[in-house]
Amino acid sequence: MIAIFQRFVCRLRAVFNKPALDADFSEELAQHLEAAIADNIRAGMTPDEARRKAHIGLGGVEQIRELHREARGLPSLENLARDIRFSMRMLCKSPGVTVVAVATLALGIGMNTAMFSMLNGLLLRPLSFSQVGELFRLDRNTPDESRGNHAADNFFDIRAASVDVAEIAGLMSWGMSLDPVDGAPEIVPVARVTANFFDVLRVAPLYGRTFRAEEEVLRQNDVIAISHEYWLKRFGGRKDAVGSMVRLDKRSVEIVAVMPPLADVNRIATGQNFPEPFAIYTPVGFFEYERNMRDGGSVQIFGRLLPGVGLGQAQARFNTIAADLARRFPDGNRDAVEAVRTLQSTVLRGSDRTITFLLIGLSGFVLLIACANLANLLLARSMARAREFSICAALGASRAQLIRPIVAECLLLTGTGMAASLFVVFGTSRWLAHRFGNPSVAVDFSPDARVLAFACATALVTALLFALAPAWWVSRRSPTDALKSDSRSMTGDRSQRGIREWLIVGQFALALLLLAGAGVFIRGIERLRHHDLGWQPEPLVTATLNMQDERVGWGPARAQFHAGLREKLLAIAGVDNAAVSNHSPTLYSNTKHEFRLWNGDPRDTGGDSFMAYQSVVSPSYFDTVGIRLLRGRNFNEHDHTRSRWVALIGETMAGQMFPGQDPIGQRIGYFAGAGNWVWLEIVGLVADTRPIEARPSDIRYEVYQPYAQRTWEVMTLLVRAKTPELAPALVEPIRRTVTDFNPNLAMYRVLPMATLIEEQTQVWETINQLLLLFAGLGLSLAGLGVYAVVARTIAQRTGEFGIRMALGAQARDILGLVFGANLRTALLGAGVGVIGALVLARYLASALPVFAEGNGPVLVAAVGVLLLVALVACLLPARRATRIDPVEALRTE
Amino acid sequence: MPKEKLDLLQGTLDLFVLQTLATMGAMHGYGIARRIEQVGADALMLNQGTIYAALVRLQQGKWIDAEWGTSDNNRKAKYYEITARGRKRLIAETENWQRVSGVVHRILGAPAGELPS
Repeated sequence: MIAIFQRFVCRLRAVFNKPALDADFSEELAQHLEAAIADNIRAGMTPDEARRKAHIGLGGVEQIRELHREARGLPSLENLARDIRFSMRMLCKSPGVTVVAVATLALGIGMNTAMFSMLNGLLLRPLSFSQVGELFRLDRNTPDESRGNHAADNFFDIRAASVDVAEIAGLMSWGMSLDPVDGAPEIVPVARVTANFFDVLRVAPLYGRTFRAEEEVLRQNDVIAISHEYWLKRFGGRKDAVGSMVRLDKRSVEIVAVMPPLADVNRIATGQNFPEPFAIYTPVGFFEYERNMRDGGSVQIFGRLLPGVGLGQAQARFNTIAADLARRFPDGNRDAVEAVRTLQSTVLRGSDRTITFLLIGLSGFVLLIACANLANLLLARSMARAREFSICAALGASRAQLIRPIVAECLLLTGTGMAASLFVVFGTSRWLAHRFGNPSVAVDFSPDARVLAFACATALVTALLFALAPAWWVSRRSPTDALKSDSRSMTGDRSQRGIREWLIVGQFALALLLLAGAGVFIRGIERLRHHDLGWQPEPLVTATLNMQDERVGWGPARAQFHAGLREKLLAIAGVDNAAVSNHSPTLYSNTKHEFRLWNGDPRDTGGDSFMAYQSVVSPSYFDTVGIRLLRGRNFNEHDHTRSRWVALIGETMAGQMFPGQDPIGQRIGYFAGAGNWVWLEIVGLVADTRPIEARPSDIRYEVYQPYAQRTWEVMTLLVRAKTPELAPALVEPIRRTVTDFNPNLAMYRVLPMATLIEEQTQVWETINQLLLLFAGLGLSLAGLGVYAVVARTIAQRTGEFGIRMALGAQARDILGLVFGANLRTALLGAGVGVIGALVLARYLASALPVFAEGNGPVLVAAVGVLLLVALVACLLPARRATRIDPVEALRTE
Repeated sequence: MPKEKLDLLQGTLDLFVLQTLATMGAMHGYGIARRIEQVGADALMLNQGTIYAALVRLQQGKWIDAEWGTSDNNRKAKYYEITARGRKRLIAETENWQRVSGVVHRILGAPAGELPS
């Protein structure tokens, strides 16, 4: 090995010491000849004869030199250097083309790599927990809902039954009101975790201690750990934060730990209602109402495999546990499956993954179109040099020697393009991270080694792709071809035209795919935002209120409080209506609940069970939000704890749960803990509402209850402005009114609904913009490609057109000639592209159902746009063809 | 000419050069070429010039050393000399060659139908 290296160093040194070594060898050869001549003369030859014999004995001096050089240096490296120098000269000779080529490549590779850096940042970059490979997430799959969370009691059973395969921890995303450390009470995002949560993740606190097992229990859980960000923001990074007391949801709790930055906890946890990272961790302390039920819980389970245990082994255990739970508690667990996923694989969720791959794929298509353009360019250039190639071949150049300069040129172009593409990647990573991340899940798209490797690989594949066509063309030619034919009048023989046409077909197909892809996506998102939501977001202003104030009281007192607040709000100029609900209608949060159909007996719970979203609302909610009451009556002030318990349901639920019956007067019930069932009488039917989510939950049923009958801690305040334009101006008056009404109320995020929706749909907007950018680039590149090919063809056929015109052809005939050929190509490309677009639309629809319908017009429009571009790209050069002066054209011939 | 055969010849030529330098001491290129011709091995060289590629290869492997010196007739000439490393290689290669040629001889020389022992 060392010997090989030594020899390589020797040879490398020889490469850089060429002139000296050459001179040295010349002298040695001269010596050789001299000695041989002297010998020959001594043997009795004449001087001429002696010289001749000496030369014959030595052999051809130049060949010997070459042999010597080859043995001495690194011939392949020297050849490569020569080829690169040569192609550098070639590229510098036509700087315009070179700049366009490099810029195209830089954009193509850059965009592709930028998209990959997203995938890298979202999925490939490992979570920062130690031995992350051992970590997993446990999902609960039921026919109602896939990848759901767990009920508290199930969690305890699962944890107890799996101690010998894994450590199991739980987390619930929560919101709590934290009393002033310095000022107004605020609602903060809280992670309610089991005591071992940090141990399972192997995260140690920065200061203080983690939670103790006994603190997991309700009323013994008056301790919190604060996040690094919250510590810096509220405690100014002071160490004495540990040990101090704060009030959390009106309880006095002790800060026992300050955590290090834990961005990845926010990446793995789901269901955060707040667009901010967890500020506080507290032992879970399950409430009474969270116990004794086996369905509809919201405990997220994370686990770490014990050493030597595989994921499959753990899954087998969880299957056993699920079967056991189904046997012991068939209510709620009957069809439940417990499924393990590696934690890393959960980071990029289903539809995000589809979108990310879509973006990488489509940006790759842009690059492919650019490749086709460059292939065409190089092919044309090679054809122009056909004579030169033939002469070289005739003089004995091997195929490899002919192709090498082309490959060198490609490598040089892509190398430069790739270097320039890094500017694109670095320039966009921050913007992309800003647009795709949000404060609760910060994303990091900054390029790392993997991204650079991807850029290099892309560049290499690109170079190979567009070097292939010209290299193949050159290698197939026999030396006599070009020498026989006159290259000036050539448009290329049939096979060359074939490649070029197929390149154009490919470009058109890809461009159509990009156009249609962007179209389908944009239409889908538009549908998502503008389809009938069943409610009107525009005039609304929302705020989140935490009602846990003992001065407000419970039940009827709450209702009175809200009624009073509503009076004050209605007094603000421009306010039309106001209401409260337990969640904002923009997104369904953790308010799904299991219900039962009435079976004739309040104790008999054997009726059909179903999952529904549960909304707890004030009577004015439906008018405020704009939900239509279809039948029956609205809630009113007569619905209170002492009256009959009532509910309104959505129309889909009415149609499916009570087919052919009148839903009004029917009863549904839910389990209220401690063996009690609450039965609600359905008094009305309202229109379905839809959240603004691309992937709506499987659950389509809605149940509304009056807030006077069901108390909820954290409420969403909804205020309807008289006109949508007034909404932003109402934010401040609303804030002031609420604070004046009760200064102890923690209020959070007072925002116009439009802003909230914008926050939620920002990612979609960004994807729209990116797809439009891809489609625009792809289309213009394809157009440019067609233009270049048509222009070149016409330039080469000038003589032919001249003859045709001299013989009486009209401008129309010439145009027909040019269009006929290219229209066919464009149509063929569009046809292939339509098939591709259909496949793409199906792929999108499989991830997000909103993309499934109404794609026909989009496809038609895309084909139209493409043909228009083709037409323009043909028309510009074709017009020049019609202006050919026959006399001039024939004279140059 | 098939490539394998050339390689065999090349290697053999290197071996001859080493053997020549080992027996004759320091020599210049022309001398080595003449010597190889004299012992009748010129069939291995296409012409005298090919010796120089072999000399470069041997130098790279540090099996021989080269130095400019003065020839018998007082002219400057490049002299090649075998190194200790070269001698070791020569012994090893010679043994190897003898073993191989022994086997080849036995196989080719064996009467038809009889297996070599």
